[in-house]
Amino acid sequence: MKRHATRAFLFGCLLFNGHPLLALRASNQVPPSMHPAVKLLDAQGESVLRSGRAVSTMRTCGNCHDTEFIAAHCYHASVGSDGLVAPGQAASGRPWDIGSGLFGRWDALSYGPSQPNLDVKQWLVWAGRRHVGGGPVRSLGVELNCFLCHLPSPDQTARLQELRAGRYEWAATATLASTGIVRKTANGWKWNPTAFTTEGELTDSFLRPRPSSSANCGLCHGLVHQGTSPLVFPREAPDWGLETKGQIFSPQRLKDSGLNLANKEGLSRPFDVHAERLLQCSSCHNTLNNPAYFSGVARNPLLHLRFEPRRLSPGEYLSQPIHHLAKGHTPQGNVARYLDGTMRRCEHCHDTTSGHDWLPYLQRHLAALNCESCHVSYVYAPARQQTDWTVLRPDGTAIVAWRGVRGEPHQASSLLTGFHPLLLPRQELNGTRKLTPHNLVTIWYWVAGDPPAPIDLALLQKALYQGDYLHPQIKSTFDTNGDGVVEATELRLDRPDKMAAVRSRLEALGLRNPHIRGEIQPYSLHHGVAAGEWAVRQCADCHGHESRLTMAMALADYLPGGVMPELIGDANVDWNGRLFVDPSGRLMYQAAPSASGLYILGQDRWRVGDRLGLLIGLAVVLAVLVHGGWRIHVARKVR
Amino acid sequence: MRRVYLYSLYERLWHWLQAFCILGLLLTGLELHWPDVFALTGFATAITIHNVLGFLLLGNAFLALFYYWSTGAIRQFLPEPHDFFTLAVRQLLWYVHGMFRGEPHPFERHPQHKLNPLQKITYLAILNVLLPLQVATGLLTWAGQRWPDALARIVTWQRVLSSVHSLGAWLFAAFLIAHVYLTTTGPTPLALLRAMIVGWDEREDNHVLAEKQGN
Repeated sequence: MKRHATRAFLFGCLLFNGHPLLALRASNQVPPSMHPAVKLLDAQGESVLRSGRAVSTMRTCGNCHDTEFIAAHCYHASVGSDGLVAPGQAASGRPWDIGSGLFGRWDALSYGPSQPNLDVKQWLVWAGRRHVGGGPVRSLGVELNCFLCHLPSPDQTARLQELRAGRYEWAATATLASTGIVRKTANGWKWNPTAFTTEGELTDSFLRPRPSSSANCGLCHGLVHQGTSPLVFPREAPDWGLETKGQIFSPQRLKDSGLNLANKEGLSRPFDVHAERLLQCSSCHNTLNNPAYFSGVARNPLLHLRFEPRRLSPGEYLSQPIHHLAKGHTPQGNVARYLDGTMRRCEHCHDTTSGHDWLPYLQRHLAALNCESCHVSYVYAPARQQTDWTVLRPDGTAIVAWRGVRGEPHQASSLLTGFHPLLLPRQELNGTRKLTPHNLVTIWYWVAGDPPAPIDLALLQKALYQGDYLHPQIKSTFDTNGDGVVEATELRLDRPDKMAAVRSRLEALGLRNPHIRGEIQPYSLHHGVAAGEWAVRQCADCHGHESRLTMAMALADYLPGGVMPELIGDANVDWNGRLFVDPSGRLMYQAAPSASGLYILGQDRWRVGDRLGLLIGLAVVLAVLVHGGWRIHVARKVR
Repeated sequence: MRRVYLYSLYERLWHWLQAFCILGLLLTGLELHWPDVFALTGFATAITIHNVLGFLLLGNAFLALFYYWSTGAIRQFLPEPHDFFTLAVRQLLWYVHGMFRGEPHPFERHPQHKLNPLQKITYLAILNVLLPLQVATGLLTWAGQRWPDALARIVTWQRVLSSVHSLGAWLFAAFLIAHVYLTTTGPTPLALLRAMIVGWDEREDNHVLAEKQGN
């Protein structure tokens, strides 16, 4: 009975998430939770207050919810570990990849631990910040951390400290550090008795789980900002969505932010109109069996049904909520490809026929373009352009170039100019192609061995540096102007002798056949959405000589080692444009949507036909001039 | 001088509406083809005008077909097999040689025979090949853009359709230049143009003409 009452409460909470609490969200207050009191249990099922042991989310939450089911149906936990393949068989095409998710697919941007000999502990140290627990690290004792997504203020820092220290079972407990339930002492974590009732349940003021908010998602996925304080970039940790896509999910108007944006005064639009209209990440990325969203299964809608009665009851849902979240179909979202297209797209919520009266041939435009092409036409944030791991800076980091900023992106004095994303034809699930805005990130790194695999960065560091200083052989080769200092513009493999010097150092360290590999990873943009008045509305933006559809995007300021990068194998975009080096040495990519079957009026034309037509026209004009001139001449002579 | 009523009111209306449509289509077509160079009305407006003129041209063409067919006047567009080649060569020779020597026009127009052999073969090609081709490619393009889902196959052929349509437009432009120039080859430079405006063709009496030629 109690269990049913609990579920009813929870379901009420779930339903309320959509409506009356919007006002609270707008005023940046944490909505009150309707979750019943929680009794924290350890892995043995005892009250943690009594045992003093670490909390077990699987036991605590498992009191009411089927946590084993949840953990087994959560790609945020499995992150691809449930679909590993033999090395070289992964869709990325890399010989060392063994999967398609965070676990199994090498992350070139942050130079994660390389497969196939993946050490799970090493992987956890690297991926812990972006992994919710469970899945591949369950064997280490790291459970799926429910608190991370269902508490208003999970302590990510304390959690990461425990993970990095190898105290895996305490990671979930540390997540509660900021709640006052538990505190860290010299002898480890101690539970606060005043936070518990005499029955061992937590009192109201301490822990009330709630549906996850955008801020929870932002812990791993990118910059989520709510409230009235001016938005600034965080300094403490890389921000994934921001780095790769310039993605900021905030209702704040750009001109009210603390960012040094160019022409800021006129930018009265919000960073994301959906955030401004009080949507949460979960509004689109909902749990797949949430009965409130049931009718909108985007990938396989039952169009012949006006109502679907076969939906879960609240009790069934709260017992076994599938934690696979609805997802789109992006080139970067490689995990759980079998769920691609389960998310609602724009047209499933918006009536595209209203508000587009000005746009001729609406259906044709909608068939050729994803909504983001016009509604995410400009990114008002920096994003990575180039990551060069072929040489390292003294602190062991890569040389990174950014687009959309003059200077370093995290410096307050840098001017943020933003950038136009590149429109690439995306391969849709129904076999069609639609133009979608992308940021292209180009990455170069050394690989060695047979089959090749990314080299250990420590070895590269050893090859380049002696202690804190460049190795003499490297320094003499890289100091091209001979001033005794290797400047930032010299610390790059832009000459054959530099390349040879590093390669010989790597070979001297025992690496076989070291060579550079370059790859291009497209990131499609679906956030930072602008409302109609800020969207593309000028025909000339696309239909003309300077069409955005065929614009060239800079991929790199130089070619490390002279190696031309290739598109990563699992990107679902058509790659039929032109990759070229411009006269200033920059690597550029010019899109060619015509090669994907798109004909753009005002931009595409049959040049042979035009030349032939022009020749015919000129021939007629010439004939008229000769004939008419001769007639005038004869007429004058006769007179 | 004698006056011959050469063009009926309907024929003149048809002709000038046709001319207006074709000129408008060429101009808006130029803007659609090179919007950066020929920014006349704005891209979206140019599309609307182009579509309206296209349908106007189509309607006008159908009405004309009905008129010429029902009145039997369509015969004058059909080349007569008898001596066609000889007459065409004679007309051509007059354009390149005879008219410079003051020779009379080898073909005298009258209400039942308004077109010389070269005009007949030209109009036959334009009205039976070029115009239908332009109308068909234009209509398919319009329909493919308007109903892209239902006519998905057409959309995939858009490049071909547009290429053919563009080449056809070039040929129309070339025809227009030649056509306008050849209207000046009448007794006076504006005589033929005037006839197409007022309907009446003024020509010198035969005996005056003979005197001028020294007969």
